Amino acid sequence: MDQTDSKRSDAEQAQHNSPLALAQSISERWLGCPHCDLLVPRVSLGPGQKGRCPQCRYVLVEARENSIERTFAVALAGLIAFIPAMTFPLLGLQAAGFKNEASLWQCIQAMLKSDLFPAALVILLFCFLVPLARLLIIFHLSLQIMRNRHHAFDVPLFRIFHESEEWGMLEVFLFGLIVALYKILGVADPLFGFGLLAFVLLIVSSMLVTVFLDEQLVWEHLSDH
Amino acid sequence: MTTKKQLTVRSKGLALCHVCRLLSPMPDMTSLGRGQAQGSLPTPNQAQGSLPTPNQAQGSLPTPNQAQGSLPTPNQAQGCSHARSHAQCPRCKSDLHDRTPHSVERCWALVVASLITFVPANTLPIMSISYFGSGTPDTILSGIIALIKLNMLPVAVVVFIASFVIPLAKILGLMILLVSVKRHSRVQPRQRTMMFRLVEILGKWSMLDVFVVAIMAAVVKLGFITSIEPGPGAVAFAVTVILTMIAAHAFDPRLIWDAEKDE
Repeated sequence: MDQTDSKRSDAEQAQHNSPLALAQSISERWLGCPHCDLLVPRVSLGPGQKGRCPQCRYVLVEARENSIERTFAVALAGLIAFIPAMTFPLLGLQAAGFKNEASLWQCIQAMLKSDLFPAALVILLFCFLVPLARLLIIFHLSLQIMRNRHHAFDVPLFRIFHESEEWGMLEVFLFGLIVALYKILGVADPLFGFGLLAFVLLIVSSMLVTVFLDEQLVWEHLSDH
Repeated sequence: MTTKKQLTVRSKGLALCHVCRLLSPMPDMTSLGRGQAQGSLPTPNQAQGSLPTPNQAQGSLPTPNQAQGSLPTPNQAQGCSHARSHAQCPRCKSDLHDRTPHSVERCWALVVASLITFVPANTLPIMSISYFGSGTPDTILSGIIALIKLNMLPVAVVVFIASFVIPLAKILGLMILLVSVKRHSRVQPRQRTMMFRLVEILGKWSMLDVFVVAIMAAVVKLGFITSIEPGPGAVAFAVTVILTMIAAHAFDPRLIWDAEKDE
């Protein structure tokens, strides 16, 4: 603990003029656990290793290789799959000569038609706007980092990206498609649309974004400017 | 656990940014105004750096001293105009808090609200299936019973867990955490933290039934033969899920460990 004090005072003396530099010099040596408040000395990790909080097992750091390039690639793939995933039919059914298919967009319309505006808004927000915004933001930011550029809006954009993580619900919607498919099987023959393929690709790429992305790397880039 | 006094973010007078995880020194409450001015406004430093230019221009005049002397005033003025009751993260500008403010109170309020909306979510019809014009409205639970009757037990179990067990378990889990924190309980802090993480992860999965209803309403449209009309229960249910998600977000898990450290 005495060691910490001396380190901190050193840093304070050296870079007292900038609170960001001071905070960065502290964060270079220490990690704080957001779940149990433990202060843990930072250790260097090999590729693929995870650093967990010794007290509550929270994953504090995770080493990722080529994080930015991989993130950029999967974000681009996700954006390409996005439009067909939203507009092409996902699931349909066929019975007694009738045939009907529906896309995600039509699911929202179906809710609107029954005057359930809030429910339509929920789907629009969590299955369309949030996933799209997250992909666009991370595509833009990874491109910015690769080109070593900086814009004043980058910090608020990455904050939105960070805080909207749990509000993207594409994978829940896919699970809903599976449940709906089982329900339809009891009534009629199911049809699989082209949109389903794009939808699965979209989910895989947006999940890979969270796997590949090293958020700390982005924050470090954003604080260098 | 092993050592009596562990190093914590709070004990070292630091604050962890909840967004970018930067550790910065927590400004004292007394010198908050000044700390704030330094924290949020790097411009005064730049202003000082650029000061020599007018000095050089007015080399013979004694005004440079006056200029330097008067410099703190605009700084303070700016600091005052930006003064808040809390500090900001120097990197991402989000509010820095030692602990999430009013965490327990906000979480309780949201838990109670989600319990209230859970009643209409389960009593109002979530959708009505009509065969040849005659419709039968279904609530979540009656829909599950209908699934069992149709010999679709696995789907029934999935829907039952996602739309009934998980929301209730989330509400119950948060209530257990809130009560334990209020009582300064020191029982199994690690397990309680893991329970909180489970509540956080499960959060969005209870939205499943809302999506299923929307998909069914859009897909099952075979003219006069059969159609599905979504009901207001879907809205109440979505509200319940959103409320429990915000409630979990409001809870600060560090409170679980505070009882241990206060000793």
